[in-house]
Amino acid sequence: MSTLRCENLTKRYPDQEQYALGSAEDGVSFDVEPGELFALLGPSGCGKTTTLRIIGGFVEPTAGRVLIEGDDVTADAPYDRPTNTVFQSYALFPHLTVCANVEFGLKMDRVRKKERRERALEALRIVGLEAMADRRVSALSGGQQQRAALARAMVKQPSVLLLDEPFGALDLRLRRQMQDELVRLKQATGTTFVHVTHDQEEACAISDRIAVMDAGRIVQVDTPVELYRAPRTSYVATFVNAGTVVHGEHARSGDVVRVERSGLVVEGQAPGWAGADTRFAAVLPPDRISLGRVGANGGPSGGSTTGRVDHVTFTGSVFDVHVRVDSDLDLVAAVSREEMPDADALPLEPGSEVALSWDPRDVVLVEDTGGVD
Amino acid sequence: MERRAKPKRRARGLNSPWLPLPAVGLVVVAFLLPLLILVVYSFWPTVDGEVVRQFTLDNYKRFFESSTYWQSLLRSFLFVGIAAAITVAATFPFAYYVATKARPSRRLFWILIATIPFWTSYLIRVFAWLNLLGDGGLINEALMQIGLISDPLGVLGPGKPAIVITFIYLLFPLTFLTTYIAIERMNPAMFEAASDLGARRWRRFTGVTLPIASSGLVGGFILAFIAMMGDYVTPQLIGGTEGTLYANLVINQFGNSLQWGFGSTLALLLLVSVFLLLAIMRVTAGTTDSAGEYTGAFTHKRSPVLFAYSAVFLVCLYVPIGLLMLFAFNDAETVGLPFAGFTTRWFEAVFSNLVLQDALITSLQVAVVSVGVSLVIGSIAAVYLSRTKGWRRNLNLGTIALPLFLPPVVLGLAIIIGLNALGLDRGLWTIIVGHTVLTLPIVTLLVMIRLEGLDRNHELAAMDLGARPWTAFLQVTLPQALPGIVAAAMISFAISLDEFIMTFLITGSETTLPLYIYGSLRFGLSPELNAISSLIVFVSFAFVFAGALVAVGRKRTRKIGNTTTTNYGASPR
Repeated sequence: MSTLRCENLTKRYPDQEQYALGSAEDGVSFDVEPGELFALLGPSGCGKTTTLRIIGGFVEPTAGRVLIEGDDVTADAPYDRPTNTVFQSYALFPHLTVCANVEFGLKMDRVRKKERRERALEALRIVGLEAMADRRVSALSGGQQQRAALARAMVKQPSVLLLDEPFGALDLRLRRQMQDELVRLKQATGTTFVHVTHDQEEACAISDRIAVMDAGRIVQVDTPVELYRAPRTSYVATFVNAGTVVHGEHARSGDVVRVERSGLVVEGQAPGWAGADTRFAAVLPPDRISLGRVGANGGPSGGSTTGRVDHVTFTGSVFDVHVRVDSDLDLVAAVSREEMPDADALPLEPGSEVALSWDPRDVVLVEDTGGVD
Repeated sequence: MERRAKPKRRARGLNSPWLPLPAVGLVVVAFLLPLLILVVYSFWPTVDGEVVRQFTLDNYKRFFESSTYWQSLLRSFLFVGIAAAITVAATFPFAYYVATKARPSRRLFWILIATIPFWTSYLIRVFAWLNLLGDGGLINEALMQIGLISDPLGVLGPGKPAIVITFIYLLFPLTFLTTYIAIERMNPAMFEAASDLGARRWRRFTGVTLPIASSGLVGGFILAFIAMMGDYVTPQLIGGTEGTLYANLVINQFGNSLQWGFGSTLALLLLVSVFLLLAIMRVTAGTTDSAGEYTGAFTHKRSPVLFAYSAVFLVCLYVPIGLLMLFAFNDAETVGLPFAGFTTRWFEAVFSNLVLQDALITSLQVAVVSVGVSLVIGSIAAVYLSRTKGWRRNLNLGTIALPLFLPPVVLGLAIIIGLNALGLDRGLWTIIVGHTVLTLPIVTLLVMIRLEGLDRNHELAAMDLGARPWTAFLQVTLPQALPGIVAAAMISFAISLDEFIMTFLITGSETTLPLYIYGSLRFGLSPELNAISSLIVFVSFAFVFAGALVAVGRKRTRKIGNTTTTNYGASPR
């Protein structure tokens, strides 16, 4: 049995015409398995937070059901559900100490004072805040507040722990550290998490599975690796940054799909899910594109084009070479530090002409849904 | 999609439309209903001191046919308008200095210093200026003694600057606070942006500062205008019989002349014209809603001119109070120079004055009961108001807040007319009801603002952790709102203790402290009055400083151990 099942959830606010989540015909559905860390990923306004709030009981769905461990909790108030939430702003109670914050939920369950304190301290120990137990919340740093909020949500041992952009307010280094800690916590406690984020790197780094959302619906649910390897739509490909998306005229002959635009032809294998009338776009993963001198041999055969280098960025592990192939398309090729050619072998100054080549087997064909703004 | 039927368990208790009912009910019964009766009375003639229940337009004819009345209204409007405008203009540089030039860490100090005199008795502040400017006051005495003049200058007289000076002094804290709040919200980056875009100092002031501050300036003007328009004490005390304004004219109809019907007409016309003015101001001035979030950003720039102005301003604020205290220790039967030696006998006289003690006890009884009732029903109403939207909420809020936008003199008159119509006698309870209606909007608004400022997520988090709505409210929201509630209680308490204008009208035989002081003032200045005033000033100062100390000092106290420490001290910033 799934720990959490969402069935056809939709939400339309009384004073609005548009659905905030789902549509009149179709709602949001997904299952979360026990012990899983499940992410809802999408840009702001895609409905991910609404979904989380429906699960937590803060928003009543217009239609659809929420089942937790098989029980229908759709009509239950937040205080009657086996869910606990880490709020985006943490929402720690400023008038209580750290420990009293963590004890709050147990107090509501009428747990005896002594046991309450013990369990709260244990939760604080797990997140490494035992020493701060009797401090005021305002004495905590951002990362510590985050941990206190986590301990507070965790101490009641909820069936599902909900995280609403929990690391949004932290700086990059701290965010990475907290992500690692969350994964460790998950492994140690076996808690089931649903995690809302707009940061695809974060979602991929920590989640077992990701539901990519767009405009109130789920576009694809998959493991991070699968999302990169086989995005279903150009939207997903762009959002998870799986590679350069090439939009153009598409034609299919047998298993081979051809996407063509001014001066660039990309061919690849049609994916199994594709129907007869699927509109295709092609995705070129940056690490599968080779750079070379114009006219020189070498590199994979099959797909190729030429262009002028627009600019090069360094991301810490690889160089991203942005090559302008036509007026509104830059193909991005990733070159590792070791493989970065020296200026004599292949000049990569802005304006230098380069040849790009790839193996058609590395081309990913996706449904063309337009880009992400 | 069909959802399985399941009993609804979502509690809606906290935004139940019944919550504001007691507060709204009180305003309707104790204020709107009497106001309605006042309207009816205005169409009834008075024969031999009794209103006759017979519809007539005579009262209105009388008003417009006799130039005395409508000219008095026009003259008062003009005079009060000018006085309010001068108050706003005089306050602006000071508010501007505190909000933009003073260091943020010192702003609270400036605000406290500037507003403390406001919490000392209204009458005493009038009295302080009498001490200075009156015929037997300090300035005249001094000038006569050095032989510069032989007779008192008579600065106190109809339309004379003395009334304006006193009005500025009385109402400056109102205009200061509204202006200050409007300016403080400006982001200093806005000025930098204006300079960056090429605006020089003067253009920056007229193009950016003034438009943004305008909501505060207009708000301050309106509050000052309403208070001055309904004030029948200051003009009379400072200006004598010829200094009287329209409000005095209204009051007189209910006094010796017993013209209740015509008095109602006059009161109603005052109300209508004030509302007309408000409407016109709203339409022409528009509203600058907010100048953005308060960022706390601050770039320090010295401004010696503004600093000097502010310093002089504060000195003017404290000189009358200082002198008042000084002469409380003067060993002479009259107030004034020369200083005849130090004595505490006037204070001893105060402490053995039984009438005064009775008055104080009455005042405290009124304040405790009316503020207590206001706090309970106002806070409950605020809970509803802070978490709902729409016309129903606005109607409730508008009804509760209404007494705030009317001159208290109208409130008082409406109450005595209501009592008269119902055949009820005045007494302690009428004062209590009146003060409750007066403090209710203040409590409701202050608590509502505090509640609205709290993070709603805290309550959601509490519910997420298993708390039912009322539990979440009591355990999470209320403790956080407590500083606001305490502030509301203190302010209302001070207002109730100090209220004269309405109390004078609705009292039976009871004497509150301000009524006692007023009674004594009629017999002229006396050192004993100075002593009473000094004591009140001392107590007010002690209260405000204690409050400030509690707010600042208790921030860090905490107990270590396994007991949960709760700290309800206000946490500034």
